[in-house]
Formats: sequence, structure tokens, C-alpha cells
Amino acid sequence: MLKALIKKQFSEYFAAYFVDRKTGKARDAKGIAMYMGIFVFALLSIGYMFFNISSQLAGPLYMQGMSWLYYSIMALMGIAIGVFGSVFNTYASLYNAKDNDLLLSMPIPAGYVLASRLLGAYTLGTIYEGVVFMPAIIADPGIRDRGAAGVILPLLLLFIIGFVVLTLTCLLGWLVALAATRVKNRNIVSVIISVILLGGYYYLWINLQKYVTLIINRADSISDALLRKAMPVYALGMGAAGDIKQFALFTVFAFVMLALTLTVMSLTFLKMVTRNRGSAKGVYKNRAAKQRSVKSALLRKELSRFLGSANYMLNGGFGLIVMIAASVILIIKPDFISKAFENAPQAVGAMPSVFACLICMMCGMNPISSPSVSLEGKNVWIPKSLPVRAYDILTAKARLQFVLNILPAEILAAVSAAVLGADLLTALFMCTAVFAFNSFFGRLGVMVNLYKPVMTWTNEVIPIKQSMSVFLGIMSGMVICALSGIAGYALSSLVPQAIILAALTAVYALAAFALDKAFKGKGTQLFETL
Amino acid sequence: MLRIEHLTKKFGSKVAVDDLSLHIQPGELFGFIGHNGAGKTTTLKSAVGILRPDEGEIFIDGISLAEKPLECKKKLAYIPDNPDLYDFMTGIKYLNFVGDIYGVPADERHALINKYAEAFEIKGNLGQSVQSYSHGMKQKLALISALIHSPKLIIMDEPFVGLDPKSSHVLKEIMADICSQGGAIFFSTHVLEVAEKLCHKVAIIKNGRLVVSGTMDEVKGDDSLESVFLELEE
Repeated sequence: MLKALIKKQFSEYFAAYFVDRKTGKARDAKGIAMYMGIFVFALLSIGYMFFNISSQLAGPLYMQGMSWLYYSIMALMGIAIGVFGSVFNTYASLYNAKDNDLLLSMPIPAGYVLASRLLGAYTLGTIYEGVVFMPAIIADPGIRDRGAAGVILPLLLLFIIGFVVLTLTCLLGWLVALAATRVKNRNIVSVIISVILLGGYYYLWINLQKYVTLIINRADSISDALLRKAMPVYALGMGAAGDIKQFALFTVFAFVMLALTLTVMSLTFLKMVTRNRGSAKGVYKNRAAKQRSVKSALLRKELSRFLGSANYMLNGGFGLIVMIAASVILIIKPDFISKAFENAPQAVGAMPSVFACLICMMCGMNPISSPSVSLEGKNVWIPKSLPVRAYDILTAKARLQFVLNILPAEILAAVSAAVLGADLLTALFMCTAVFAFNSFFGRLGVMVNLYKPVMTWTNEVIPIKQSMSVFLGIMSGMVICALSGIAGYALSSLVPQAIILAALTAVYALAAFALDKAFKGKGTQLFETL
Repeated sequence: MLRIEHLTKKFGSKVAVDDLSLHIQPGELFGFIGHNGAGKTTTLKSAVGILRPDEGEIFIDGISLAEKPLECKKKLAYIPDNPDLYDFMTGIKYLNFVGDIYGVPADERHALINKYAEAFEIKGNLGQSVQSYSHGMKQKLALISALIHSPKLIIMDEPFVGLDPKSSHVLKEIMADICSQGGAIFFSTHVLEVAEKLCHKVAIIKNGRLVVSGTMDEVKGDDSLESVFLELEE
């Protein structure tokens, strides 16, 4: 029974690799290899990034005889990434899965349901954590000095740290679930918690180089503090560096923490998943509502969908906060850019087009329209049976991406233009390029989703975070913006910035126009087959 | 009001509906009966434009559904067998969304929402999220959303499933009322007693093919609808 549950859980996580969710048919070997290849490539790319960070720390700390501190720091980083990457997925799969009721109605012990979901969460968290810790092991120059234990212990710890990640994600997921049962607007609570987590993450990321230097310079005092105040972290580092006794100590600590957490969870799991999720009473105001146009009604429906899901808001809207924050930073520290380019004054001339492309890239990293078709899910009968053109439905989805992005993006473009000292025409075309890109990118996301829809999901995280259309949407946005930025930079010595930006505006606008036409033809056709 | 001519719908190699023709006149309450997987839902979904027929044509009030889908959809309302509604909206938001799409004027909409919400005893729940609704409440909300734009034709897939006895009674009265005013209703059901009492006409489908169709008297004669249905199923 447990095996069947685990199989179900994993088939849900990895279904996209083996089954074409559009047709429901199994992929052939070539298709599976391609999808797996993309996944592995993504993991290797992120892993390479952490390998570079590890390499900066590993050598100096090894020379100081503090390899354990190096492992402690990289493990903490891995735990942070693991928790951050999987906490909402853990919450969604543990407490918010659509098949909880179905499974609990079957003769399955609640503990089995919990165990199968936890194994899935453990795997996901360990993958995220491993992307940091595995490169750290590879980058350690002292690994050869320690013989077999030097290799085996850190490799074992990679999996044991996965349990620490699981413990923390379970605790945080449990807190989110607890908040959800007591707070009326749980989506906002989830978003606030996530924004705090993400804010902390970005703050650390921006200041990473500073902290790496700090760690290397103050290794003695940091190790002393860890030894006195965070013994498990010390044991973890020492264990990874080959100390079997400390390894055993940390392992015991990790499993005791996990056991305590699981005990609390198993006692509350049934109560949490069977709570009445809609218990917050809304009051019906008995008065006529304002009549709206079809276009307005469709856009408002899309907005309600966005605001009705913490996952959707976070995944699709976090970049909006980043853009606002970037605008504020540029206003407060206008010399930020000039300082950044002190050693490359020749690059300053290309900055308006490069900045415009960077802003477009930020917008492109907000996947709002790319899961929007999939999010119709079982509700797709509603738009299909209503007297509305498929074109209007698709356009409303693209418009939401545009409407949400355009204001912070244009503010950032205007602030950037002012800080860069761009002339009026260049500033104007920076804004038009951003405008045209958003107009194009919203439509691109919808079109990609029409080709790669996932309509039979049981957990909204699947279309929002784990679908091919979101991946392709983000990647295509990044590639398009990167190519545009490179072209802008390369041409900057030959062509005035205003002309480059005007050309970018024209290209994006033409692409938007072409996609708008496609909505009426192929887009409508694809929508009707959903 | 609804003319289905030689409808054929396939899913891969499986023929779900095979050369089915039906004609539903204004004022008629038309029941559609068949075993599970007989092709009822496929027929109904094709009739409202959710599925595109592989062969055949469908006319709503004399207009071709394939040629003018929006004009046809404005005249009809559809209630599916499982009312998966927008969970992220409140009941009243959903009704206003549907009202906006059909262009129902605000005051008229308000009056109709109140009328039907009171009849189905769901008015106090309209401010709540659809996510919190039971199956029956969702069914009621789907019914109200179908009624607020006063359609000429209502196509319903198992409309009585999930409704409490009082709401079932209210629905039957509303159905009779709509037909007496010249509207038409085409609905599928497994409850043969309800079909026998309510319907003017009935059609029985088996393995995608229409087995029999006609007035209730023509189809059942002196027998009960249940015995006729079971006989045809054998």
C-alpha cells in the first residue's frame, strides 16, 4: 500500500518527464531523454554556480586547517536553498493536495499518506540542497588527504542534511498551514512569509562576496562562535571533514529533530487536512453590481485567479517587488551605476539599451501568462461554453501579465534613464521598448502554454512551477532579452542609443502584433482542442 | 430550438457518438437517457460547442453552431455533470462574471440573482468563496448562473445530482416554467422516474447510437420508462 502511494506521489512529481500531459500518452524514449536532459542541464548550471562560490571558500579555509568550517557554511547554504525551494511545495503537497480527501476516504492509514508525501518532500528538498552541497564536496581540495572517510562521510551527509531540510520545511509548512486555518486571507499571509524569505535570500546573495571575504578573514572567531553557540553546525562540519565521532553526533541530532517533528505532524495531520478550508465567512452585500464589459470581466477574472493563489502570486509576481525595490535603490543611491562601471567607462554608453533589456528580463521572469491556460484546469468548460471568443479569453490572460508588470517596469525604466543621464529621446525609447516587450511577452506566455498545456493537475503548483510552459516562457524571455542586450551593447559604438531602443521597440511590437494575429488563428484552434 | 443532425464524435479510434440526430422544439422538455459511457455527455458537450463534432451539424434556434458559435452560445446555457466552478471567486463574483459576459443589465441581474438565490436558499452563502461550497451548493450556483441571462435553451447534464429534495422540486418547477414560456430544455438523467414525470419527449442512447426517440407515450406505451429502458439495454 505504501509502495503504491509513493509511486503515485513520485509519478505526480515527475509525470511531465514520462507522460505528455496534453495527450495523456507516454513519451517515447527520445522525449524522456530530452526532458531529463533539460532537467539535468538546469541542475548542472545551478551546481556550477555554487561550485564557483565553493571554490572561493574551500582553498583559503583548507590552508587555515578549517575545512570543517567550509563544510558547515556550505551545508547551511544548502539547507537554506533546500528549505526555500521546497517549503511551499511541501505545504501544498502535505496539507493542500486535492487528493487528500480521496486518499483519506480509502482504507489507508493517515500515517501512510503522510509518509508518502514526506518522501516526496524529502527528495525535492535533497535535490535542492544537493545542488549546493555536492559541488562543495567536489571543490574541497582537502578531500584527497582524508582517504575513504573524506569522501564517504560528506556524501552520506548530503542525504542526512536532506532530513534537516525536511524537518525545517515540515515545520515551516506546518506553520503556514496553521496560519491558513486561523487567518481569513491566507494567500496574503503566504505571500508575506515568502517575500520575507526571498528578501533575505536576495540580500544574502547580493552581499555574498562580502561575506565570503569576511568568513575567510575571521575564520577563527566564526569557528569559535559556532563551537560555543551552534554545536550541531560544528559537528556537521567536522563530520563532513572526516571526523567519524562528530558525524555520528550530527546524525543522531538530525534524526532526533526529525522524529520530534514527525511526531507533532502525525498528531495534527488529520486535523489539518480535514479542516473546513472555506470557513472564513464572506458577507453578501445585497446590491446591484456595476455592469462591466466582456473584456473587463475577463481581465478581472484573471486578476481574481492571480490574487486567489499564493503560489501564483509568488511565482508570477515576485519580480514586481524586485523592480520596485530596484527603483527605490536607484533613487536612494543614484551613484550605484557609475560606481559599478568605474573600471569599464566604455560600457557606460551602452547602458540605456542594456538597462532596458535588463528590465525586460525582470518582467520576463514573472511567469504570469505562461501557466494561465493550464490554470483553467477542470474549469475550462466555463470559458468554452460562454459566448466569448477564444481570442478575448487569451488576450485577457496576456493583458494580466502586461497590466501587472507595466507600472513597476516603466517606473524602473524612467528612474534608470534619469540615473544614467539619458537624453529625453533615449529615455522615451527605453520606456517604449519596455512597453512593447511586455505587450509581446504576455502573449508569448499564453501561446507557449497553448502548445504545452497541463489541464489535469491535482495541485496548482504543477502548472505554476513545474510545467514546461513556465520553464520555456522564462527561458525564452531570458534568451530574447540577453540577445537584445548583447546586440545593443555591440552596436553602441556605431549607432545612437535612441535608435537601438527604437529598433528594439519596433521588433517587440511586431512580435506582439504577430502573436495577436496568431491568437485569432492557431491560438483559437489550440484553445478549442483543450 | 436545438437540431442535431448526424452528429458523430470520435476520441481516437473510439466512436463516442455515432450518427445521432435529434430535434428539440420550443416549449419541449426533452430527456436524454443512457447507460454510463453511452455518449450522453459527449452529445451535450457537442451541442453547447465545448466539443467539435467530427461529422454532422448542430443548429441552435436555426443558427449553425459551427458557423456562428457566439450567437448560438448567447441563446443557451449549459450545466455540466460536475460543476467545477472558479474556486477563487465568491459565489456572487462568479454570478456577476457570468452576467457581465452575457451583458445582463445590472438591475435585471440583481433581481434575478435574488430571485433564484432565494428559491434555492443559497443567498446567505453568495459572499463566500466557491471553494467552501458543497457539491449541492456548487450545483445551485451553476443553475443560477445558467438562469440569470434568461436563455432560450438550457442543456443540463444530470442536473438533479447533489440537490436536496426541496431544491430538486424548485428546479422542476423552474424547468416547467421555462418551457411554458417557449424555452426548451434538453437534459440527461439516470433518474427515470423524474424523466417519466417531467419530460414531454425522451431519447435513449446506447453505445453512441440513438436507439429510440419520441414523445413519452410513443417511447414507453403502456409500460414504465424503466422497463422500456432495461429492455432496450439488453
